[in-house]
Amino acid sequence: MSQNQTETIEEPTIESLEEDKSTSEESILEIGKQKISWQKIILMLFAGISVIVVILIFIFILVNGLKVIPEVGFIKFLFGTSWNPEADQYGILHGIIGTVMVVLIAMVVAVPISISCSIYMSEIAPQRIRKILKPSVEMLASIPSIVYGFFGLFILVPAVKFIFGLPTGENALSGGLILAIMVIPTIVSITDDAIRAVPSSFREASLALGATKWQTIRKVVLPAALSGITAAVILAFGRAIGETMAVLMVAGGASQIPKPFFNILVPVDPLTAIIARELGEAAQGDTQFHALFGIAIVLFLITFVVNLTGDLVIKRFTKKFRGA
Amino acid sequence: MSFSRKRDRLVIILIILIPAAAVSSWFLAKSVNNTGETHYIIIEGSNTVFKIIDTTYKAFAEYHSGVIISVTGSGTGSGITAIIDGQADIAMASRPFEDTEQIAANGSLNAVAFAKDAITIITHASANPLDLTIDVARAIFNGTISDWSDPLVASAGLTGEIQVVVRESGSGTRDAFNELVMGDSTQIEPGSQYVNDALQKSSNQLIKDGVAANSNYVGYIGLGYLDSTVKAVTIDGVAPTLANVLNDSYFIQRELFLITLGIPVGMVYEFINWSMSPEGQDLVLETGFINVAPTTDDIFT
Repeated sequence: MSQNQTETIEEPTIESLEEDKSTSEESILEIGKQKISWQKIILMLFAGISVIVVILIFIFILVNGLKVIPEVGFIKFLFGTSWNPEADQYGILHGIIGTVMVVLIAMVVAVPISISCSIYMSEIAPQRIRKILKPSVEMLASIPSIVYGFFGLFILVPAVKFIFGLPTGENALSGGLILAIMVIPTIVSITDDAIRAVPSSFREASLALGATKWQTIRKVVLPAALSGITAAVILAFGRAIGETMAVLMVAGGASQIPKPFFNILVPVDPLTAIIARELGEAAQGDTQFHALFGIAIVLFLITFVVNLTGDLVIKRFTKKFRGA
Repeated sequence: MSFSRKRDRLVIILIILIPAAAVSSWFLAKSVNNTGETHYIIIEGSNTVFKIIDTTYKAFAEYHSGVIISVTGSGTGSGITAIIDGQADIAMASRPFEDTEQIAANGSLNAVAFAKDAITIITHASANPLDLTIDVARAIFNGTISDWSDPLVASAGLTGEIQVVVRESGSGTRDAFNELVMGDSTQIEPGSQYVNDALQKSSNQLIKDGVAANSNYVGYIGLGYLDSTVKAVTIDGVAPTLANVLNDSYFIQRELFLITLGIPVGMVYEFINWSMSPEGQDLVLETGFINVAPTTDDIFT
């Protein structure tokens, strides 16, 4: 909002100083008249580059990854329980379970914390606390994931090991907790935007009817912001699935399916961690190499579906308020 | 939002200038290279071998002015892929190249063993000196022995469940350990596989850090990484020392390679030749690994 305002103020001042009035009027009048210009073509070219890069990467992953189906077999690859390239076993079920486990733990921990945080920030906190709180939460997003990884490895892992008396603290719980910290800023900032996008007339109407502030938040503001909050959670979900470095360092990396399967206190091996750990050493053209790209396809599909769902929800959310 | 024409022009100029600057600097670098004043050697590959080359290349560059060497430790597989794709001149490898890699290179991969490395099993620094037979070592790593109270390992004086830490599959260190301790690498018998909850780490350093911080961990690392933060295990009474590796009495050892595409020429040849020379081999020893050639010999004739 504030950015747009400063630009519209700045724009005419510069022009009136540097150009005569007729040209500046002309350039304003030209807007909307020009169907296509050379500037547009150049910008389109550069926009096109990013699309082409995505397509090329996708083709590269597909070409390498699809070879795993004839070499290993579709069912054996997706649902095989044993990953051991030395013995030609390339099942990734343990990786899928590992990914689902750490992401679910992260969501269970991060969603309540982040939503409470954004409710406090946007509805309750006085302006000067908000001014400190919002940048500090957003700063969490700018910390490189390897720093989270080291924090997890040296602080969280020993703590988890000590508290639960385990042989190792590198397990699904530690991975999930680190991921939770990493996705908090994503959920907080989108939820905050969603809550602030609720028209103040809603709140005023509720308060005027005699509702308390808490009742207004719970019964009016939150339901109105619900689709935005859902979008925040889904986007955070997508981010957590794709996160690599931190889970590689903290989740342990043991090729096993937890027993029982909901045991979160054993080392697991999320899909991203398998790729990051083994791609550097895998021989090009090897089945292991193809299987790692096969994992990338699986991740690509999961992220694609999650992002698509997120987009659809966001679309619904913005439509609703354009109408209001 | 309206674009002022002046600003518009500035943006366009910047958009054109940045790639233009990049391209021209690339041509500039090319032309310097063509005059023969500067030679580039790009070396990529194994994290273990990186530990040697990262020291030796500096000494080599001192003797050969006008040589610019870049060294990256990205893994043996990455290094070999890089030379096949023409992205690097020399691949550092902690395992011999695979058949699939030789096929991808149309049979032109050329490996030179320039150093040796011993793999040592390590425990926490607080442990008592522990001596294992190969069978007991295998039993620890495949999970048959799972607690430090087991009479076969109780002399270490450690407590709790044993947590095994190993390298990831594809690693040269792991390949060598599999072959020498766990059984042949093609063996599918359960006895040759690691225990299911073995933690897999992507570097020797991470294994050492893990073992140093946790008294119930046991892992293996290259001899070059061994220091006082962890304690080395002796095998059949033989300690992993330089002398014992040289006289072959400590047998968990493997060779390290420099791999090129075809017979190396020019500065790349010079570098590999120099690595085999007494000066190069001295530095191999200095970095904690073991020399393979005492004297300079022309290795390609």
